[in-house]
Amino acid sequence: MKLTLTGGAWITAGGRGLLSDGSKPLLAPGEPLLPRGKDLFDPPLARYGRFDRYTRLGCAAVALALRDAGLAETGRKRPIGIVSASRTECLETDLAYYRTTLENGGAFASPNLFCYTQPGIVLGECAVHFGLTGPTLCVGQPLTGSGLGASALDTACRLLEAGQAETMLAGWIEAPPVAPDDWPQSERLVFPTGAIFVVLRPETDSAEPAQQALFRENGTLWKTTGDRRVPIQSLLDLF
Amino acid sequence: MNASPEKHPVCIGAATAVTALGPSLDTLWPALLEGRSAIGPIATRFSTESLSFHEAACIPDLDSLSPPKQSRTVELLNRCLEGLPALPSQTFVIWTGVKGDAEYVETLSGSDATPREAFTHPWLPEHYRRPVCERLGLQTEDGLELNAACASSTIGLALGAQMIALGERDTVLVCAADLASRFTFTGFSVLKALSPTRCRPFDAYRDGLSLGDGAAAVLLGREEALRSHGLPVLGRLTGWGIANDANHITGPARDGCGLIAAIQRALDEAQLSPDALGAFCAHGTGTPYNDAMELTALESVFGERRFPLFSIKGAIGHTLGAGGAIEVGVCLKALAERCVPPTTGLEHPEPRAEGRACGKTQDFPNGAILTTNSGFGGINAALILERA
Repeated sequence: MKLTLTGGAWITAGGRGLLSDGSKPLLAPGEPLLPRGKDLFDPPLARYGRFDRYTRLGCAAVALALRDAGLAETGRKRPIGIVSASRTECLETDLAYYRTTLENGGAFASPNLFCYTQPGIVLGECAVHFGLTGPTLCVGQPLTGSGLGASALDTACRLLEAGQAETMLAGWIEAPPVAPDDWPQSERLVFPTGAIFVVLRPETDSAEPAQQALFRENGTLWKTTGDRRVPIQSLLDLF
Repeated sequence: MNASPEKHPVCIGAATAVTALGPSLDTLWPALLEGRSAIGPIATRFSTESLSFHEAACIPDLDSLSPPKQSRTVELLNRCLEGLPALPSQTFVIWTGVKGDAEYVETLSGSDATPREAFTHPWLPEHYRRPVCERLGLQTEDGLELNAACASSTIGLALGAQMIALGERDTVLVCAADLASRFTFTGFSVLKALSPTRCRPFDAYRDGLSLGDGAAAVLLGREEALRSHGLPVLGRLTGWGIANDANHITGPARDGCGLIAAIQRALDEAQLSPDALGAFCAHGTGTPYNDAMELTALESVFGERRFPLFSIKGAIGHTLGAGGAIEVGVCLKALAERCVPPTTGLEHPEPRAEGRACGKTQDFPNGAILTTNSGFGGINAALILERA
């Protein structure tokens, strides 16, 4: 299957960038500096500033990737889907929510936090804001043996191949719980924090702008560099 | 343009489920036909004294286990896997449990506001998927963890079907286990989504859902791959569709647009007209909004035509990520037995459910069966099953 990469964006502690500006994602340790909501969402995404880190990172990266692909419009529904990979998903929110259940026998647990204990809520927020009606799902990012976001890329391509959406975003979101400042380095998660998304669609005869041509064969995604076929093993290989 | 690849038919070679109505589909099915419900007071798992809700469909003997050394989720999953035949060693495993870390978070949290293990050794979905491979003796560690809220195993089956249809895999196992844990029970309680009485899907007086323990595993495969390993063909998975309704993160779209799109995609994939369907296993959670949305979608796709509609959540509760796979197992039984079970708890069908859902077993002599699930985040998924 021939595919077209039409946009992408990344946000990490190393900075942020777009596929179209030729920048390479930098997986640096530390906390990413997120764009302001008013620079990302028009009309505003009302709760953006109050989201947990995982949801805020994901919404920001999806918004930038859609903008890079020329798809950041709102106000109408479109068959665009999202697959996101993560290791720790919304674990930080799970812990925060559960702490609210420990007093008064759970009678005053936070319903708002509970809603965000599903890792796919971030994709639902994006779907509602941008009118995305394709499949939205989260997949695991294996601890070892798999490139960053490879499982999301593979799943997104398969959904396109099966005709379940016209366009798919594939990406990675990681916002592991932040350890207290006084904890030793050895007790901190070494996973990087950040989010990366790319926008893919099947190749068509139309002359829409494409940033990169790809093809998927026997379950492997490839790009062509000169006369060489290069396998795509990670989201990083697309920038 | 891309040429459409030739698609392989997708068959179901095995299905098993453990619920509060028994350790297998063979115990679940007659209990459903009898209209039994496993929903009852939560006895010992956790206290509900301060909450407004007190019932779920728990598997009682799981409560004697003491997490974290004895994980109830792992025990539930192991019981489920015991019901499977030997599988081809290259089977690809898709894990679709949605709140496997709930037990872990509950154990860690206690009175410690910053449990160290959460930072040093977090419990991840792959910690369920990899042991499944080991326990079943599968050679491949190649697999996937998938989370799409309460539509997880339905979407896992859709993705597995795509892998087989596209010729990428010969066999795919989709499995899940989820508990009525304190984590989820308290959350649905404060959302006021639980029923203060009993789950009554499609009833005019329905007032919420009931949670339940559940695990399921469904093996998909190409017919030749299944037969060559001595496995039967229990049914065929011919259609699948997935769509978001882009409406609200926790509430379904009242016009059913996401579910309608998912059903239509499934019909397209199966190359069936709506008239070819003979029964509908609904998500049927028993919340006022969910069931109304499903009836709206049903009327939109199928018009005024009346055919059997049912939900099993009044019998075994809402089993979260495992729900879709359990319901596929029940659909296989329905196809084989040519009937659908009563909707347990349903006494006074709401007007639009009249002539569709009822509290009695209904004949289902012909046609395909549709099963759907919807979840937080606006996700909807539909599967179509046909007889072998």
